[in-house]
Amino acid sequence: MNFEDDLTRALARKSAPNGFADRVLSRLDAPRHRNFSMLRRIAAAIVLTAALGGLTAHQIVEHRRNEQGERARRQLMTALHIASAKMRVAQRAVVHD
Amino acid sequence: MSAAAPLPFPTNDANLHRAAAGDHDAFGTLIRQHQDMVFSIAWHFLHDRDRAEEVAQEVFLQLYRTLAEIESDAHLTFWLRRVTANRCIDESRRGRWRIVTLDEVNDIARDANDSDPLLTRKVGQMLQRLPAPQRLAITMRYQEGLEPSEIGAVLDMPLNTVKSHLRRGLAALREWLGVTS
Repeated sequence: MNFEDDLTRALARKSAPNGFADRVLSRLDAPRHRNFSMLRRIAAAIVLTAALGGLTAHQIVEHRRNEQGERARRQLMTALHIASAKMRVAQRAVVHD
Repeated sequence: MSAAAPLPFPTNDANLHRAAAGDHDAFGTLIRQHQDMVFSIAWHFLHDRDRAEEVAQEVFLQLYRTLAEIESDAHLTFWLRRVTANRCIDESRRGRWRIVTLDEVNDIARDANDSDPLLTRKVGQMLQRLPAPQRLAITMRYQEGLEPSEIGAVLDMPLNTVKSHLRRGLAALREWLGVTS
């Protein structure tokens, strides 16, 4: 038997499932179906936004921590300067006596 | 556009215009006229009844939104074949696979069009092993009875590319199915 005839028979059109047209018609007025690719895009946007938000928040916290550290360092230096000045005054008084 | 294969229904451009004007009954008639063609292209490409129906439904929903651009019944047939082919390729890229149940296998085997269910199943399985362009070219050739030039128009391929896909696809099927002639 001819192979191409076999193929034509094997690939003959099949009947669409029962009720196919009605199922399509019922979807005409339904709200547009959001497919999975759209949901994936929305989920990716949410994850990206959350990641960027988290990074920004982390940078703000880090910046504040650095500022606090710098302020504490400056306060310590000031305290050391004062202590050093007082020591010099005391030293001069002792030497003078 | 090249001439399409003979339509299984009388040309009915008036029905097309009514559907384009929003007449759901007319659109239902259009669906019923072309549903077997669209479903079969998807079925032979995907070899999965549920996915084939999903693709076919999406094709007709897209058609509904595009009806104003369709000029004639012949144009409609051409448009449906092209959009179905494109959607089949999109669907296959998603790579969803599922297990076919025994009931479905029996359902497939009972199809009234099948003169030899075993051969049909074997051809269907072997077809899935072909690259998408070869699979579509063979489906258009042997399901729709299109000439290579018509297949080129539908799939937007040069004639020589279509001939090459048909030649390679047939050679592979012959080899896998153990056909010597």
